[in-house]
Amino acid sequence: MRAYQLKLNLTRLGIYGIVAFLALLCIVPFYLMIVNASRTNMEILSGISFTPGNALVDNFLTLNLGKADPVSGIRSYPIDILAGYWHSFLIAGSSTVITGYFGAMTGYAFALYNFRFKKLLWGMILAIIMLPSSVGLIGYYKLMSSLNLLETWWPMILPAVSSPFAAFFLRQYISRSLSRSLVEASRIDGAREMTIFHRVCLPLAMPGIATLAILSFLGSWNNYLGPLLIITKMELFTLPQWIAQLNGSVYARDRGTIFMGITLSIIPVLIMFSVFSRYLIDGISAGSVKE
Amino acid sequence: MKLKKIDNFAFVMILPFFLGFLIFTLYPVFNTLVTSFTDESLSSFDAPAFVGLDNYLSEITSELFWKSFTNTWMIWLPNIATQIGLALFLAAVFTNYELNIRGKGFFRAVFFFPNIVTITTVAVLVGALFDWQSGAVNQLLHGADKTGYTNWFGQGLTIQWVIAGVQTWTWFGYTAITLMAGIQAMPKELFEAALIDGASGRQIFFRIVLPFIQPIMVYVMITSLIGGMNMFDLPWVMFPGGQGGADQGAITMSVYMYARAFAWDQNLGSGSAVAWIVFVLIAVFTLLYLKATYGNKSSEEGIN
Repeated sequence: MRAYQLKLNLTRLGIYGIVAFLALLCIVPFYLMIVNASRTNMEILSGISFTPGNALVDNFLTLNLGKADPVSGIRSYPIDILAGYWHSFLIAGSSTVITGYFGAMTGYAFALYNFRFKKLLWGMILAIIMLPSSVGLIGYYKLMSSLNLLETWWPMILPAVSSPFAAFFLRQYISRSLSRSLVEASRIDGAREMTIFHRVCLPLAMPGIATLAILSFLGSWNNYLGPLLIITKMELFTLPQWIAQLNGSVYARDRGTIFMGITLSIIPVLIMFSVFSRYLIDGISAGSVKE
Repeated sequence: MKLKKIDNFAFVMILPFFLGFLIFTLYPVFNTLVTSFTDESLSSFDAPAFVGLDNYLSEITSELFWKSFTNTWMIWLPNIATQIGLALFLAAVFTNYELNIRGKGFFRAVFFFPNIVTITTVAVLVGALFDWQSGAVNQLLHGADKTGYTNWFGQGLTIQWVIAGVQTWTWFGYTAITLMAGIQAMPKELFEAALIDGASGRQIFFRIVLPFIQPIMVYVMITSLIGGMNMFDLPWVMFPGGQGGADQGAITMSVYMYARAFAWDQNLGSGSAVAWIVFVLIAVFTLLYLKATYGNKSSEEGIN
């Protein structure tokens, strides 16, 4: 028994070692990023450091106002992270509202009604989840071009109406949380179908919708390919576009500014993570197990 | 009769979804197919002409297309192997009743964090950390002596390793959470019965847990395959403009498709053909994988 305990404890120790190492791998790159955001280009070139430097304000100014010309002092090529925040927030916010509402409506219809072609249509929704986005990319660009929607945010917002994952996720949630008898009781009371959806289904499904909303907000917030395809005007750039701008630009030689840029870009995600990480993880678990 | 009428209201409710699906998903896919048979180009004002299978033939015989194909697999294979390995290990360890690991919630959250960070941010971060002269990775491995520094982006193979490593890093936590959820959904009686029969923790994992979570493994593999074959953001931002770095090592199939259509020669026809070839390849590999997994299941069941 003691030998068994000893072996168990040794195994446990080894496992804690591996797990702690993996945790460090996940944290240290971000820590170094934050530290380097406060160091000068020279300091970063000369070696690694785990303690912050004094160039935080300088790097922030270079990033937001642009790089100063060494002779004239005129600043050029600013990275407008603030505008990026705002644009990404507008796009992610509106597409999340649309995804949540129509995803719930579609999920509700599949959970509570029996109609013709139901199985076929549901099979279609499951199939689209697996459809790789690249296969329609060029057609999508052409469609948006012919609708005169290039250089606008609509192409990133409108498709939110048909998110197959939202329909899938919320159908599961609604069939578990909403009882048929409650819906039928409302019908007997004379409520219209749409009213039942709005007054009975939506409030009861709110926790599920909230989880889905967080997932879909993140998805939209992190979307890069869409804006890359549609938007070329800098005044409309989303956050991922501004970040991508850091690579291969005039900043390529200025490491501290690059680190400042990506550090700022991570703040909203970090806030969302610290508030919602439990819901996110639950959402992933729920989305994969129920099949 | 009245119920039938009520049920038909469902069509009103699913109408917006399927209308959106038709316009924003199905039509573009179809339009891409049509475009792939033409010589449509963004840089030409002439009306596109029908060219039959020309685009497909020239892509299938194009060296760079097949290079992008190999690159994509050279990135995806090491990634999925390490990712599944790590995730299975973590899932097994975290759900093991004997080991009773503490701080699961904390570790789960930490492992998951890289997954929600914008991939463009990750791309810029990785580019800076793996930089030859100023990157923290070399500085950490070799100290101040720059002579031993590895030029990570100096050759195709190391570029692919770095990208594969980053992919693993962003997804192993997610995959571990998915697998853990599957294991936790197992009926307790299964474990109890195995324990009573005197099965060891290892036996329980390989003989009971693994077969039980096989559907989830299939789901993980297929979504990762689709995502991997479509990988774009990371290589595109790390090597802007689709040049793919040294040896063109970061030109994945999606990068190649995008660059053909929108960057290099703005040839929408060729790009569309590439998109459809990739789509067919993904479908073929998915089917092959499913066949390999489920095709010989009946014979396995015979043994058990």
